Amino acid sequence: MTGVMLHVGRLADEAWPIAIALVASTVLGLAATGLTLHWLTRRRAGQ
Amino acid sequence: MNAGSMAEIWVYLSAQPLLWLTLTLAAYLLAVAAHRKAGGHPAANPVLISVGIMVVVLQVNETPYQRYFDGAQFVHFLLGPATVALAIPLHGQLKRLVAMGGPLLVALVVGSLVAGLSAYCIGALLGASAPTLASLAPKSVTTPIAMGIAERLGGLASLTAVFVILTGIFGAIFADGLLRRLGVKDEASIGFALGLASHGIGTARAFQLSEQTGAFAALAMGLNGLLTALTLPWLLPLLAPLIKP
Repeated sequence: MTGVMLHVGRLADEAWPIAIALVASTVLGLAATGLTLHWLTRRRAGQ
Repeated sequence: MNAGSMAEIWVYLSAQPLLWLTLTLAAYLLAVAAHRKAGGHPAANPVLISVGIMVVVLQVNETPYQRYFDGAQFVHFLLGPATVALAIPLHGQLKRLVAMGGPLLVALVVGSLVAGLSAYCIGALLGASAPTLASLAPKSVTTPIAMGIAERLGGLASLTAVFVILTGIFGAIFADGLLRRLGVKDEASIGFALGLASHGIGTARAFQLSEQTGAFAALAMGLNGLLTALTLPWLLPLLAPLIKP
């Protein structure tokens, strides 16, 4: 809440880059981690 | 009871430090009840709902954040013991964690680099400023570590705290559905991804799914904090040419 109040101008000026970067990178982080672990454990179980 | 006496009672109560602690706990209990009423739907995230309730309460009463924090800081204090208590479910899964050591380590490195560097690169390509980018990069790490990393990178620690909370809420709401659509259905992978990409809020969501999912999330949250603190400060300067002057 403090962060929003202090940086409201910056958040408004850079709203789109921030929103897209936050959403896209979180999706990429989730997918990269989940798929890597899933693939490696399945591969190991198959061996 | 008339409006005047109600106002007097409110003035008295708002001066009591326990009021804000009580209201915070009441907001969370209300949010948990709403989450249960919604059948455990991830969109009814208890953290999101309780934060929303407290923002409205503080705004309506024009209460400064510092006064609120002075009253509710016991909850803040409990963050430390709660994090240490994550060792209990981890210990319960110890054999499985050790057996999966190699895959977990690879997934940790891949996920940590993708989460941090993709935020920086996407933001840079879309024209975000240097302080914003430095504040964005550690957004998947738990708040105290993320704020420290952001300061070291030339970012704004309080702005990073906002990004960390938003990332946690977004991940907690969408991770389960997203991963299942990608064919990732085992508890270990879902938990590890949730904890790595969405830190404590994702870990709380993982514990709602199952204790095993939560244990993997807790492990990922801790390890990602450590790895990000070690890697981002020397990796980001290599990407500096991406930033628009």
